[in-house]
Amino acid sequence: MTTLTVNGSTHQINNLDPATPLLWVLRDHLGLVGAKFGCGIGQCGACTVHLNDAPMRSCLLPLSAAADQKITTIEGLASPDGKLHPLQQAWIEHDVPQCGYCQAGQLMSAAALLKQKKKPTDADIEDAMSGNICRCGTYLRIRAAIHSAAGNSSKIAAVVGCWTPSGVNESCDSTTLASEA
Amino acid sequence: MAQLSKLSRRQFMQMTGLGTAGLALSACVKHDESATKPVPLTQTSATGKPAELNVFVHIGSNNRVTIMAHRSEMGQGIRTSLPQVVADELDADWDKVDILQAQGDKKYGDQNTDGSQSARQFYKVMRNMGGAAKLMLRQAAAAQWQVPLESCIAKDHRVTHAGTGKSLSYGELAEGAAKQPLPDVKTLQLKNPDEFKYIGKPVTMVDFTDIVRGSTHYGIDTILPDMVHASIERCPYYCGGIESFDDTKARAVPGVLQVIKIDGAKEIPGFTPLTGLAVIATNTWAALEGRKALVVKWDKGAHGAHDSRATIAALVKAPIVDAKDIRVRGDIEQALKTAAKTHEAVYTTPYMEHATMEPPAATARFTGEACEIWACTQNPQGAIESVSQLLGIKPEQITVNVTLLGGAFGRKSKPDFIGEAAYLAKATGKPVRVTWSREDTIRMGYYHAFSVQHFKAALNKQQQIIGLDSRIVSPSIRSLNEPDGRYMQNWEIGQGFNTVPYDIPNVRVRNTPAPTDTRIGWLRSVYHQNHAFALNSFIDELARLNKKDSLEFQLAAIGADRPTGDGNNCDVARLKNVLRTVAQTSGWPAKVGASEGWGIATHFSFDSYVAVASKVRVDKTGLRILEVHLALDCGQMINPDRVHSQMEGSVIFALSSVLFGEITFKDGVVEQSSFDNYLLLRMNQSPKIVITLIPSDKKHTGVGEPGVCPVPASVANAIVAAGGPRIRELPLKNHLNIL
Repeated sequence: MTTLTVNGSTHQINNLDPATPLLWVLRDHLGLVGAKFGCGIGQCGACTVHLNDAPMRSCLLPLSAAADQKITTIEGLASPDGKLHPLQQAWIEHDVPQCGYCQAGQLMSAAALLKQKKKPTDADIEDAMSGNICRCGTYLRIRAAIHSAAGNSSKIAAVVGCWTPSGVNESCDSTTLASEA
Repeated sequence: MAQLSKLSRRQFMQMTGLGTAGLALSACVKHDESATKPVPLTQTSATGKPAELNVFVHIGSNNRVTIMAHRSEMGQGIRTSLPQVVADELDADWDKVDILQAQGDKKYGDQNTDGSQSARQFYKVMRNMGGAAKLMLRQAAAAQWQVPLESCIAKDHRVTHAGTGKSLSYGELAEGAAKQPLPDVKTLQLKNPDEFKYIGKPVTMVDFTDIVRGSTHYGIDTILPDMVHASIERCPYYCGGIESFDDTKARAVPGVLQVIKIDGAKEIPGFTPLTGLAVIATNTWAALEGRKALVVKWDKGAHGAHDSRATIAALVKAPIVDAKDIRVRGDIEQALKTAAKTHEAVYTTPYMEHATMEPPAATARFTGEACEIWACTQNPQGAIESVSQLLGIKPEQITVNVTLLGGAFGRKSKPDFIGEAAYLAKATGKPVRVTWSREDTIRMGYYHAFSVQHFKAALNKQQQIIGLDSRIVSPSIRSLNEPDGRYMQNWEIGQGFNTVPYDIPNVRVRNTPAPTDTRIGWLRSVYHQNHAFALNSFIDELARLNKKDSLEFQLAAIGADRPTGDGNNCDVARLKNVLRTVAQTSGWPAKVGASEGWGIATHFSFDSYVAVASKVRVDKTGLRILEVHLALDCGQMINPDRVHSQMEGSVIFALSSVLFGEITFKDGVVEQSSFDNYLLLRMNQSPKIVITLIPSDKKHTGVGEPGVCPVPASVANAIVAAGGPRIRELPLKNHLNIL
């Protein structure tokens, strides 16, 4: 029998191969499907959870290594009262997701970064986030949302579109779409 | 596990009394359970025609409006943007609107969410749906108050009488409205654009809160009581089979319940499941472990020697045999003979795979009477058809619940994986979830076709192109269903190869046969991206040959404003406009640092106009993409933020393709397997991106796919401008180190 502590709740896991990756224990046995399967070899980050507050690829973490540790999944990122984490709020404000599948992993990687560095630079963000693949290509908005959640200047060097969620870029002329924001 | 959106199907069923559709997906209840029953505004469910009015709109006496989302959500925002059109014409309050994902059903019209079609096909339909419902609400108010219809004004989820000021909410009027006759669509008075409240506005996607909480539902997330898990070892050889197998050890793996053989198609694959051995287990991991213990001897079939590099290399050099003329204008032979200068080049692009972040996954339950399915499908109606054939049951016995799609890009319009789940549910008698591994996804795909494209141009003394001789060799999607599908279909060649926007008097377009050695499918922008790469590279080569600025040379080649005809209705004025726009935003011809350069390209596809200018640095360390500017003219926009995000994503997607995208076969088997050898662009490789959306009052055109087309050539052209080599074979990683 193995004891798992996930998002503050303890679970007894019986009769399971101790080599089973935490990801499949979460998804198939605990019904916590927020952490996603992407590759199973730690390349894409879709399965990222926190193990004792550090980002961890749950697809590679055997059940035996997760036992009796503090595990946080995307379901536990918001406050127990349901209030969204500042990153979750920023994700919505910046309209980050497209298909959304990788975003749980992205958010968990970003949350771990902000725990370590309250005011990350672009380079810090790249270091922390380049292990998470987004096939839809939301990287620019992820970067913007992390800066925003960290209270960094909202001026986003990477996103300069003539129409952006935050308004019209000054470098654009009148032929571009007027802001609706 | 939560349901898609604001309202669960179970809750909806409870509220409508429409009966249960088996187990509901959701435990997430967001609205008052005690809400009373909404009244469907439609009395009929006639087939065909957009007159299936108000199948999309239901209003509860609790004043909540339910709008059916009938297209699949895969990141393009369609679950929000089409309902926002309905809500606008309905004058509904968006905060009182619930979106419910429609099951597969022909009554909604076409649900195959493919080909950048949703806005093009359904914008007007959605307006009619909202407008018709609004008229019925006004009629109900007029009847109740015994006043003329004209005096009943609908606004902000209420109908108000202009004379007395009395008013009723939509919820209060719903029951009466349902008794009104269905309006004739032609009589509807739809809004003027200046009255739009939601159309053209960046409304936030309805799923975002659930997505960031990790509480929404993708195909891979379905959990049913007593469900078992399947992982399938499929035959890696095209149209191969199983010679023999031993599953003794697999069945001994703890958690493994049984092993089931699936016999797939031996000749034309269509969308039927592949031949394989399904390991059924109590959890996904046990199923995966069981697979590792299988011993299988494959029958390699007729394609066991396929070597894709050798195939492409041979087609580059092969003599022209069995050429089919696709288009002939003027006299190309004469033009080449009398030209002041000629130039020729051959471009190749490889097989690619969709690499959706969520692999294909489907869950099915078969009761003998009915089969109910939950799947991340782009095409629920296609899934019903496919499962009907596979199980030999009627379409009416099949229900397909559409989950969110964790990326799709064309892969998830093929229902092979759904057929697997249905087949195994029947075979086991239990609900089964089939989860593809990453390796399955990369190795067992419906591959984007490789291409070999031959070009020869004739130029006169004035450096004008007077002749273009082109030939395409590329496997056709028709090969999925035709034993001898060696020639391309007209629409495939028409995706930018037979439809060049240049004004050239002497043209010949030919197609020579290509072998089929794997399942060929469609991937975001399909053949367009191959053709756009080659054509835009070639025009840049011609510009350089003539020592001309590439932008000026392209504009001159495109020529005078005109519709190009050729069946593609490209308005070249709009094409030149997007070119000039990216030139403007990028400062073309911009000054660059050492080893840096800009490249430019444009393409018309899915009725949209896109141009891209890219800046790269090429030095001895490798290639770095620095900046990408994209201008899009897609006519009117429903949700400009989602159009913008699609363009951002198109740039990233296309950069993955041009830099890394390559599936190769050796000895009949795909050599790549996962994200360590089938690379996708990461944040640290992503350039600065500048998107310009051209304002327009023209008809809606495609958004999901067009953005990717000009990106590859813009990069290849930029590499030359930066002093690097002209690369005619994709992907670029085979030629340069990618930084």
